[in-house]
Amino acid sequence: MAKHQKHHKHVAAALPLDELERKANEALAAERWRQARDFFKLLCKQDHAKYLPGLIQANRGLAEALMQKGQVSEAEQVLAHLRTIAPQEEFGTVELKRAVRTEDWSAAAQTAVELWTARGDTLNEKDRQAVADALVLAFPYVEEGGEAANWPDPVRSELTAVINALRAVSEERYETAQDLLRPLPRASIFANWKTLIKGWIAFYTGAREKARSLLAMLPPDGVPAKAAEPVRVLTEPQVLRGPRTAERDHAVASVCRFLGAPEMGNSLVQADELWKAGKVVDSLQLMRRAREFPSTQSTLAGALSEFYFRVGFTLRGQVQKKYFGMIERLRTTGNLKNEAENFLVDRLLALDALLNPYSTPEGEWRRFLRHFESDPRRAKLTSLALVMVAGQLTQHEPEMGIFGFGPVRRRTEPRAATRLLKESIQANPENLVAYLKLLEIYKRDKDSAERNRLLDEMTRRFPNEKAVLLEAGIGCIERKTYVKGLGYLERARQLDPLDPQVADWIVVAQIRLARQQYEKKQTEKARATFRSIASRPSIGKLDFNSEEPFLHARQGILEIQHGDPATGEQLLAQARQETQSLSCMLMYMHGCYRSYAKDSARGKQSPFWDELSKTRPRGARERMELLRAFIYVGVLGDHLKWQKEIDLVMKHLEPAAKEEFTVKEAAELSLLLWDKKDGRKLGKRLVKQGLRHDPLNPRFRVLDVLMEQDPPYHRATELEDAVADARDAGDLEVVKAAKGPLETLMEFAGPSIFDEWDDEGDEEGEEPDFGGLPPMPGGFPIEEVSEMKRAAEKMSDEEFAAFRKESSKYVPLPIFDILMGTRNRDKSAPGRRGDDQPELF
Amino acid sequence: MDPYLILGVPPEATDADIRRAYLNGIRNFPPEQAPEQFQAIARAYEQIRDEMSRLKLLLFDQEPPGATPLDTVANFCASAPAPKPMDFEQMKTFLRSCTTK
Repeated sequence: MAKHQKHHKHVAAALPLDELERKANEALAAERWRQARDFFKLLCKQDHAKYLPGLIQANRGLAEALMQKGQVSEAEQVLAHLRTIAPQEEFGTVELKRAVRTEDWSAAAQTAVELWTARGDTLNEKDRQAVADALVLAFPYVEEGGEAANWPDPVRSELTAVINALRAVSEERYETAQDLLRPLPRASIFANWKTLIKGWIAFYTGAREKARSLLAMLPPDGVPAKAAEPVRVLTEPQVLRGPRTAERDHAVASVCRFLGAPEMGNSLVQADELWKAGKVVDSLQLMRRAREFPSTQSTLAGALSEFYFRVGFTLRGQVQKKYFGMIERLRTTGNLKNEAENFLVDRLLALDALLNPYSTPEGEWRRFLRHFESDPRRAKLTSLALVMVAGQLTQHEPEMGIFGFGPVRRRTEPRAATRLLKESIQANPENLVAYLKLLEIYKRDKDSAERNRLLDEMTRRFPNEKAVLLEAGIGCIERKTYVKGLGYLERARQLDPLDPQVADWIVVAQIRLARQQYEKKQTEKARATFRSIASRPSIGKLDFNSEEPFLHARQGILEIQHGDPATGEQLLAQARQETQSLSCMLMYMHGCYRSYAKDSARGKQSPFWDELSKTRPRGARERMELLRAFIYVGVLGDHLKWQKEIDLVMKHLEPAAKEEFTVKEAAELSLLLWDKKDGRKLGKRLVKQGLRHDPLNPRFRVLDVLMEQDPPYHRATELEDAVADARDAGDLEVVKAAKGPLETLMEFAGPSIFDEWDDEGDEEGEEPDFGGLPPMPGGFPIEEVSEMKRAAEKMSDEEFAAFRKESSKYVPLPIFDILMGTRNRDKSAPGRRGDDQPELF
Repeated sequence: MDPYLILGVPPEATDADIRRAYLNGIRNFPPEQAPEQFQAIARAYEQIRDEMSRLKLLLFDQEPPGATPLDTVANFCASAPAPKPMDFEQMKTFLRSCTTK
């Protein structure tokens, strides 16, 4: 006995009787059972008969409290003492609770029956519930000849009903269960069990509200209330999202038990805490200890498995790397727990391979697809997957360079992509997307023969697919079989009369057909073709194909060159009258004339050149229209040289930055100029001025970054923010322009590897040693780069050129050139095309 | 969240089954009375309305069903249809465990 307890006993023994009695009763009322017991022991020495009930009550309370705390063996000691001082019926409920606690169901049932028989009318509510609980949980054999067959009614018959109702619920015989429970009176000791079972039936039959309201009626004590808890949580799960409390933890555990995943309940709370603390690997490892995890079933374990094996894509940086690394090691070290985990890991790694531009996704996907060997959807799944993998192998940056450094490619493996797409088509000949992607490859590689062959197959197999008809139409236009092309395009238009792309291509086909007809001297046919073009009035949008003034101008040119010059002049005069911008129209006429001229006339200027040279555009709007017209005709006549026109346009544009113009006009003009070599300087001035007027304008903010001469890695976040603002403002043009550069910047301007240094050696004032190289953009291992540099120094020019070409698969050439520094770059200087054509600007 | 769970259809459900479940769902949870559930049902339908969508979901879905493990459990509880009842032996084990937990 502890010293303080000895002292307390000594002090108590010295108290007068009435004082001792008072303290004993106080302790009893306050449920300080040990203290009460000690007081009553002393009191019993004075008057055993008077104070024995108090002693019994104190011991009873103590035994119950000990059992509540799980201290069963201590409780049994108290019970053993109780058996010596009191009759059974005085502490029968305690015995009952002990039996239940120790899962001695036979003793529990027997004690319950005895208690009920002896004291059924005098038990309080709590004790009545304890009796009912013990009887049910014992699940005694209640049938004829069973151990409970001779128990007294109504206990036996009501218990029979409850147990059979539970069995009926487990077998989804809900109406039978209801029928069994109906005769139970309200006063039955099993009334709460009846409520529980009815609540369960409501839940299992989808009546969540009814289940909730039924189960809310249960008193807090007893097994029915605890058994009802999971259903309460399942119908109102908000408690699971709240802060950590004992109640919440209990709710989690009970739900897991209810849903047949008790081991998960043990781990889940802790796993959640670990996750929130950023210890994601530890969280997964803890969950893996549960027998039920992972799973691919539509169960709670399945849902948690989907969480852990998909959430990796939402993680970032080193955390993601560690997480994926851990999962990958499960496979490489052969530690996969079960087939479900095998599936989930393969899927995760296959998806990761698709997202990682430097990985080889084909192997991962073929591995993952093996899980569908016996799935009837296997062919379609294979077909879909191979299209995605092929797509990853043919990512291209746009042809124009970013930051003036020339074209950038992520990766391009068209042969592998072609093979995969053909396999995809073979697996599922109805996979239209596979055909379209293969077509793209043939177009990009300018493989006309394969492209045409594929188009023929596509038009046979998908005669009513708009996308196919459109491609077929475009293919015919490129092959100059315009009538056939128009046939396809008209069919496409019938399928979707509102598609502007189809309408535009029809106009293109008609214009080219008309030109062809003019060139063949089929003048009447050509005129009829022009008449059939669905022209639009000029509304200032500068649609050079279908706006009436431009159609008149174009037809005028063709009439002059191949038809009736007088008719042509009339049409040109009409166009001049209709146009709102003479300089724009003159540029258009001049460009069309040059583009359509016969070879023999190539060296000569058009009849519009003099007037064009002398006509000054009025204001910023007209300058912009002049520029747009030039860009259009430059593409139309891309086989010609346009230096004079470039000089003329730049001469007219130069004042743009000095004269007043609206922010809108500056925004439009700068977007046209930003990626043109000759126009960049002017564009930059416009952007700077625009930012002075409107510093928050997202377009100017985006273009300000895009027009940096050197790759602005330090401005990656700034660009990202500006693009997001542009998107919110609906400026999709500049968002599109920024897409490629932004992706490159974000990839190579991520957190530096030096951010992950630990404190060792990183003292204040100490500069990190970059090995003589400039500070790296994120992700480059400095040792490897130094090694590369040393190796490059020893290479011949041919070897270096081959090395540079090979490296371009993994690193954009501008980055490579920066890293290699002193090596001669002149021979393979980026930004120049192979021929002597100048850039458009 | 699992669109099959939200709509209460099995993974092998047909287009017609799924559409029927969707229409029932939005009837029971109209947007003006239950906007969150309506959105969840509409989104689930878009994800699995036809075979191609279902196959793409099976292969390429990266979205986790919750932001944290317990959030996932809460989402599951909110959207999953009533589970099948435990078998009798599991039920007995569960009920008896309620005495100690």
